[in-house]
Amino acid sequence: MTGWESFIYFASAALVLWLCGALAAWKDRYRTAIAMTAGGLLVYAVFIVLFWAGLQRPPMRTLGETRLWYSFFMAVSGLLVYARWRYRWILFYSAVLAAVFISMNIFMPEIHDRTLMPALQSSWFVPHVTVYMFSYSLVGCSAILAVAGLAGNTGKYLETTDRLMYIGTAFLTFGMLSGAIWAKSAWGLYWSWDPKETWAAVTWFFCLAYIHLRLYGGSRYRMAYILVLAVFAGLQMCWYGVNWLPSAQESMHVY
Amino acid sequence: MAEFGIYVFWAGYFLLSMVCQLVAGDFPHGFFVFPANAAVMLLWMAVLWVLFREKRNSWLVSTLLSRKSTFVLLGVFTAACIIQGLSSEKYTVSWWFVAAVFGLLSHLYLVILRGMSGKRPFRLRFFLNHAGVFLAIAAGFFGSQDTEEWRTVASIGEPAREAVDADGRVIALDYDIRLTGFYIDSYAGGVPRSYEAAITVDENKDFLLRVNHPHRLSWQDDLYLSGVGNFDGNVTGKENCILQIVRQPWKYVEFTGILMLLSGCLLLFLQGPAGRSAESGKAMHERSAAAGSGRK
Repeated sequence: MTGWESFIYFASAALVLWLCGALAAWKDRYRTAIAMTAGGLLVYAVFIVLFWAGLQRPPMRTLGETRLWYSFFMAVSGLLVYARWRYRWILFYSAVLAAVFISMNIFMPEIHDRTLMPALQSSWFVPHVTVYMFSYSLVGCSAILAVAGLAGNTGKYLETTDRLMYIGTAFLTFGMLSGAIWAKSAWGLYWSWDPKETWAAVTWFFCLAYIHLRLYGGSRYRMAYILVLAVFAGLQMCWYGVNWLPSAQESMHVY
Repeated sequence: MAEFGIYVFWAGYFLLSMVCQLVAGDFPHGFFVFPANAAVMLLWMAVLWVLFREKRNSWLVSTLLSRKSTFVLLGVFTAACIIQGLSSEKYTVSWWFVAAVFGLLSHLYLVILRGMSGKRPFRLRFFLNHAGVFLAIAAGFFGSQDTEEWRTVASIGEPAREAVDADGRVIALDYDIRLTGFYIDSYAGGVPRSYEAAITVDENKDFLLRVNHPHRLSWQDDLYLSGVGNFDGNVTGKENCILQIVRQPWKYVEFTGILMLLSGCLLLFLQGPAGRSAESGKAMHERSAAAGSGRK
């Protein structure tokens, strides 16, 4: 049975492959970069499947389990961006970002029990969490590009951030609305201004501001990049930052 | 100068809402129960429609429809949400929060009218996204005072005829609710994996109630299994359960908005960046490449 005690082996192997992929990408070895990164993803996916089977429930309940999905989707998003736009440095940054969240799971272990409370036993559970985590990773890639654009004082990454942010916003919207439908069936209301819901709304409105700025804001690329970073910050707040707020005590999203 | 006027207009609007908050306290939301809320909503939509049709070039309509207003309202509403997100207090009934939602809805409605006016080609993605957001927010905003939540404890053999609302007031239920059975599936160690309550309503409707699976009592009322009480891990036949009754007549409007927005976000995913967003990004990329920005 595969549990958290095996995570370090799978994660290390995946990380080594991702970093080899990043190195190959830097040296313009496209096929090697794709193969290495995909190999790392396969290793990581095997852990998730075995972990899921061992837990006998979807590994999506605790913060540590969502970090697992985030680092997985971060590598997926980095790979997709590299395969489509061939930024030779993107795989390095996506691997580093994934490594940060893997390290958190290794060095800040939490107690993970196998129980799943009745409210989480819903058909919305898996799509709601995975879609959110995928959108987080897309925004994470956009944030890397935004930092590169701001540091280099160039608007050349905007075409890519536009595509990532549109897809990210679509997934974020689906995550938020699936959460609203689930909340209606679990708690009676689509929206109740719970702290987690409120921060989801903040993040979503930052996304809308980005899209409207890109539609009507002309060539103000610095402001567009800053909005991408605001979306990224909003997501971190929504994901785990909200737990540190006084209002978290009253949140229905504390499990 | 025109831009300055737009900022002055919105600054005055939000300043007025803050003065109201200071003078009168929270927004008098208790007044907006059906039919007053529906009447105000229809009247407001009609006034904006007439203004759009007859006074489209007026300063007021131009201001409400301007792109600057889009950014001001998105910014103000996001700021209002951040304040709410950081605080344990409920600010959603304060004048400034209500003003932010009302301003956003007014702008959104006029933008939809303009987007759907005969002079422009029909854009499905624009319509689904904007009208979806409008319906979802408007239903939550105008329908909030028609929404009621009551809780009651049902024990085997003792019918529940009263419930308590969020303010602790006891009300008589429209239904006679009986718990006839209670089934618990537990993990090793006693933590409940799932539980079901066998319920009889008005002596003639029997059903099993589970978490995440509410039962429809009427077109506006739903019954929820909210929690299990008096349970120590052993089934003794003396358990009780906490039931929740939610009355939300505007849920159909809200759900329609959510479905439209879901369809709109599917198109957002399939079609990607549109209009000037894609053009300007591409043009900027080409300019950078032409300037010899080198390798990626």
